[in-house]
Amino acid sequence: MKIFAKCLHTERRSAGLYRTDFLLKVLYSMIAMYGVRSLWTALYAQDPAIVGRPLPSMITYAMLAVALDIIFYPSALSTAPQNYISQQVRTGRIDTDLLRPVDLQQQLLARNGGAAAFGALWLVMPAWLLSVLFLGMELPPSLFHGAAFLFSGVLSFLILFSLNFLLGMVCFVTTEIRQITMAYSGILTILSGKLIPNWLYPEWMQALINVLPFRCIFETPLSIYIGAVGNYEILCSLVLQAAWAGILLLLGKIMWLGVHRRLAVQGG
Amino acid sequence: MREVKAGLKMYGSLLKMTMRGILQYRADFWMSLVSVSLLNGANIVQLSVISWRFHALGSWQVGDLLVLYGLFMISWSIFSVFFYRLSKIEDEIVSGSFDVYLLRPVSPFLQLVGGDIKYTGLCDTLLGVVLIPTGLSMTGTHWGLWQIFWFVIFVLSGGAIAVCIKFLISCVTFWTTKASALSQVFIQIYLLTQKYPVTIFGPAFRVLVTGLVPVAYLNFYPAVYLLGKPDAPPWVCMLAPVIAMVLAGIAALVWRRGLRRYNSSGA
Repeated sequence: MKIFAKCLHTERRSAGLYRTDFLLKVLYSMIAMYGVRSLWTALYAQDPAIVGRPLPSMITYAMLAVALDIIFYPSALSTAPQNYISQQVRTGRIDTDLLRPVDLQQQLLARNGGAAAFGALWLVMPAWLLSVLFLGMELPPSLFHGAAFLFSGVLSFLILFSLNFLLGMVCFVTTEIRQITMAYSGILTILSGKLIPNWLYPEWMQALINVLPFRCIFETPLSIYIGAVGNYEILCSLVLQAAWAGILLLLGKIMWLGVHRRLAVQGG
Repeated sequence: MREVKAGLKMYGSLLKMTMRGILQYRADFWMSLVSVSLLNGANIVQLSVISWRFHALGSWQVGDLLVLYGLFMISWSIFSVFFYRLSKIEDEIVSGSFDVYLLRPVSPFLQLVGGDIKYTGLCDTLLGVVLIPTGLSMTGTHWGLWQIFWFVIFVLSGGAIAVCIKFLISCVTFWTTKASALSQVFIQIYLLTQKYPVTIFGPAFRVLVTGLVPVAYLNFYPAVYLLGKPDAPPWVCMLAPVIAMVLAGIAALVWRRGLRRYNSSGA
């Protein structure tokens, strides 16, 4: 936790160095939000029945997905475990990470978590506020929904982190994961409910998506935020998310122990 | 004229050198093809699901949307194969390796562009080449010689426009030493025009992508013209080559001023 706080602090300081950068980042999130808003407005005008939710809810879902994507997108952060590992493996500097007294998974979690928390506070919050004011983003239906959304968002991050960490483990074996990362983000985009909520997919695809962990990353927190699920279902989906996070973190840990044993560092 | 000829020859030999280095890794190409298809597959799945559920996006059927997407990929691949290095100017300036180009007796632009080609960008081309005929057969549109002629013109001007915009954004680095966030803003804009017809985003956005950052000329206007859509009058679409030339002129000017202003970061 202490490392996490330190990482958050470093992120904030480095962001303070480039203030125009920050403004441009808020600007581009607004553009992306405006884009999905127009898309769903156009679709809704064609046939409101198909969307399955009132237009403001759907717009909120799509815009919030964009906002979350700023911190969740696989290649967005240089601190994301797979990017960090691949960079350190390529340059041979991974040995310095191994020398530190904290386990690699925890180290990366603190680093990535710090950066993501920073992104959430200083990028997503302003973008969210602006979109509430100007783009018609709704507030969650109740305080309970809001709190559940935040909690679910943290779990989403943990699931995404552990998937990324597993991808990073691949990097130890193949030393290069750029291509795999591209394929991975493609799959993530389709199956996480980021672009289209799952209820619009054909039934056979919904069945597939329901047994995979990806939908927990975007669809679960977003559905909670717009109030598409009842209180009981919220609890169920939070438990499901927590279970996925636990399983995937554990899997990452096991894989790391396996990789660590056979690791040979390129003499950089 | 002699200078141009010498420049082209130099570019040729630089490319030959680069190709030799690249051909060492052939498996990389096939890996890229799979991942580029999956990455774009996400967008195509989205467009298909939307078109399947809603039957169309405005007046655009799924076939039209595939042509729109394919046109973007082909034009864009001109940038991503041959001029990809222009987007790396920021890195070169920040790390100080840009200085090297200024010391050699060949134009820095040629050295930069000829230093690398990203042959994996060919996967974008390939995807476009597959998508356009698929889309056309779905909409039942047939292209005569006239349409094919304009298709070539549109792809070339679209490519030039993509290159110039990327180049101009990179040139900002000469003044600010940082351009990545600006480039992100641009990416967000073209991610929208790549997939969706510009018409759904309202008039302000349309002015932005037609006049200010003319990415709509990569795929939207060409698609409107080639598919006979009612979204814009034909003469606006046919401005594509003019816009490409104007933009190239601006880019050349800015590049010259940038070079004159350049101070090494001294790293």
